[in-house]
Amino acid sequence: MSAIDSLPSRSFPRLSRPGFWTVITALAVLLLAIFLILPIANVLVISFFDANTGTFGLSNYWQVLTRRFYTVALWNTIVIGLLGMLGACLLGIPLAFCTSRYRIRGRAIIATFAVLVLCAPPFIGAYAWIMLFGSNGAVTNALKTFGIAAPTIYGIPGIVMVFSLKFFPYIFLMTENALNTINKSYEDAAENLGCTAFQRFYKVTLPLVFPAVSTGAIICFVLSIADFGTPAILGRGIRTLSTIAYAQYTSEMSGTPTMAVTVSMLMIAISMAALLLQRRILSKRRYASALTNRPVKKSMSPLKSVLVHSFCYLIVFLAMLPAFTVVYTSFLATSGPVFTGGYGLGSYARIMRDSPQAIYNSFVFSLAAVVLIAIVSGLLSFIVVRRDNAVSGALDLLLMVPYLIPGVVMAIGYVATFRHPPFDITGTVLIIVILVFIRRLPYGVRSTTSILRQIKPSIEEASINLGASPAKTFLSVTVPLMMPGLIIGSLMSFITAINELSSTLILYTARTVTMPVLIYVQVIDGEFGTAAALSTLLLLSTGLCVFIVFRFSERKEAAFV
Amino acid sequence: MSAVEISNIRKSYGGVVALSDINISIPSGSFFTLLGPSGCGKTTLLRTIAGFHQQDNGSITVATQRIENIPAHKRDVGMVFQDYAVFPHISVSENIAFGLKQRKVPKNEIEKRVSAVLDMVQLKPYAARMPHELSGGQQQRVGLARALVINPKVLLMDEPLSNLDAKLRVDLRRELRGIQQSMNITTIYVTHDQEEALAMSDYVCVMYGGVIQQAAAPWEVYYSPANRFVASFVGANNFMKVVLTGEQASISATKVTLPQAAKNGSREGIVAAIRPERILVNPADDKSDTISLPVKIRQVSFTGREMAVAATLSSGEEIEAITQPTPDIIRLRPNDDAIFSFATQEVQLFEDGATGARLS
Repeated sequence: MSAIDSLPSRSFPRLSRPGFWTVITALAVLLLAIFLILPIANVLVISFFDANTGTFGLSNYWQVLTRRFYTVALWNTIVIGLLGMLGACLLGIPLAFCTSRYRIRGRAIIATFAVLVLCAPPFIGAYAWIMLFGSNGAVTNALKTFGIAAPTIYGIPGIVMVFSLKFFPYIFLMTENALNTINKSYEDAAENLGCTAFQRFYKVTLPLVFPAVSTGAIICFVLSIADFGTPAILGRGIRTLSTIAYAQYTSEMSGTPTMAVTVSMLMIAISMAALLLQRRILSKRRYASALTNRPVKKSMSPLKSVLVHSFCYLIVFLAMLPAFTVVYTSFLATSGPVFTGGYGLGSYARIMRDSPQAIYNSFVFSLAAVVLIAIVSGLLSFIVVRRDNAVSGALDLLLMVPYLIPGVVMAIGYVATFRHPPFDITGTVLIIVILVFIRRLPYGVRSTTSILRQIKPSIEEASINLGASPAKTFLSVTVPLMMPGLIIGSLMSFITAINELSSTLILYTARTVTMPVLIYVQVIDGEFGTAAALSTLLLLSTGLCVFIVFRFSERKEAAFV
Repeated sequence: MSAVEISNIRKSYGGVVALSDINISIPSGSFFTLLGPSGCGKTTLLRTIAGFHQQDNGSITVATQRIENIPAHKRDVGMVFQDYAVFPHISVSENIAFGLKQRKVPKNEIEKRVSAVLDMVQLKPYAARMPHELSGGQQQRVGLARALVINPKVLLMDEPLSNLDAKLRVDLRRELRGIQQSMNITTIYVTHDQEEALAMSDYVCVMYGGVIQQAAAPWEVYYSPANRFVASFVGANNFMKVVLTGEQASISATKVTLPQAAKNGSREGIVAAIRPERILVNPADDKSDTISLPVKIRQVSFTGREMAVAATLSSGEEIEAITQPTPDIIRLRPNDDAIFSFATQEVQLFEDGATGARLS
């Protein structure tokens, strides 16, 4: 004590010893600059150099916007994106209305199915529908025996149907949550002022949940235009931007992937434009209110009850149909690619014999990425939530970027950026793990951020006031309190990491092949049996994670959107 | 224990001044309260002392040590938070031992000190409980015990009672003051509740707009406010415009004799202040040296111990009296005429304006 007392004017200049969080913030900025900004900037730069002459300019964009090959793909992409979004809304909004305003038996089952659909690998839907309605599909053949031609699953209608059924849970879960948190007094007031039931829904309820609906819709739109697997499998000559980006990339393999990159930038531009438009519309609509009067669920007349129940269950059953088909198919006996009739575990035996590497890789890569995500998202969310400065604001904004950049684009950026010695990591495990880590980091950060916002800063201040350093406070107070969010975030990231296809498809080598890549290759080759077995394995691990999230999360389904 | 000396502390946020040139001297062992409306800078000042805000300028000395540039976790000032901030993931006794562990106090001594402080805040039976099993009042006792057990040089409290219900607030404020006096610990207390400030403090420091308006003993702040803001914020007060024509002063068109006004000559913008409890309603006899004003009754409300009589002066200004509930007063109805009268020496004169200076 006397040592300090003798130096009454002793000071701790701020600049000479940067604090713990300053160092962490600097490291976070560095990490995102190298592994997020640099690859995207590279992609952007490449797109400005002419594919043939190498001169700087807009010639690539001119080509993409004028040559029929590209304009058709652009048109298809936008049409598919919009129709997919519309379809998802048409399924999701009525379903949400039914489950939040009526007493539905087994609402938990409907919600669980919706979450499973959301988490299932995206391309499973496409090829499961082929097995049912494809040229040689089960339903197609069954109908043929009666002389009826089944509707075609290929082309734009098929893709739109798959997207609608695949992405409607976003709309459903977000809208349902919003409908459940509308103060019932608004609807009561509308009724009191003379609105009929329909007017009430149309004039009061729907506008109030519009922010949630539009957020869900924008997610559907962005995911629809970024999805690669579905149009690749169901397209049959229908090109979309994501499929031609991939095709261009593989054909430009030897040189600079100029045209693939230019197409990719166009995809990003569309996603961004959609997001900005939605933000602009939403900025004028903020309806925060206290939930003093909870909505009540009405019971229905027997006839109405039957209709409403059938409607709800039909939607989730149709959406789950691909998953059921895949699991069923995996237990069919096969000889090579041919189904021989009868049941057996042959497909499982084959994947265990032929592709243990892919299974092992999938789990190891995902786990490695998730460990990184857990650590980094814990630290990042603290910076974003607690450190109120320009850098933390920029980091928060930057973390939106991975949502918007299609996997194909990120992967091309990684190859373009990290192929120069001594930083040549192309073809290694590292590049896949880092890419999956960066792409799925926002899921982790979002989960930890939302729980951190619920922890009062005074708890951390109390710890500091009692003598714990900022680093020690984070470890002994913040991390234990964030744990539920960290666990949920990690599981969510694991689900998306293990199902990652579009980026790994570009980065994989024989040594680093993963289950989704192998499934895609096998579907293209017509090896439906083993693809089904691998998909079942993926579904199983995904389902397990969903189950654990349900156990840990108070808000259950809402944790997934 | 330790005296606190705050000199020239200044803090602004992007051009908005939160604290401007704060100078305070707090005697060792005293209970010093920062009182003011929200946004007056009292919490900013407290958090600057704790090290959660970095001042732009100035120094803070505790005992003889300058602390303004020491990181918050090395300052050795105990803090009690408005929302308790009890660590929810560890038990009551672990919460209290937290600061001692950071200071590497030997284990058996930790046990001894935790047990002693638990006795002091009457939480012995709850030592092993988790925070969520405690009531708000009990959680705040944990917060207090946790801050006291480290023997801080200064104890800081940021509206510690404002989240509790009224009855508990009064009980706990007596208890807090008792503990503070028995430990003789220098305490800086932030509140917006003037009754709390007056009841607990050795010194009350009234703040407004990042500036100290007055720092003095509670009765001095109440009976001798330094300016119009203090007069209106601490306790209730009635303000009436004074019109001066030559030597003659008038309030609400009634000529009055205000010896205090004479020395100010004839100047504009003077207001007279009279506390509601100093006003008599319809007094029986007219004493000398009183001012009597005709009013119209607006509302009479019975609050149990007393009556609040709200009325309008003929000038249109509003005035309120607080008196004993006598049958005559209870019988008053809106729009009745009445006389409000008060002793001339009870009137205080201020310059007009939010922080107008005291003139008498």
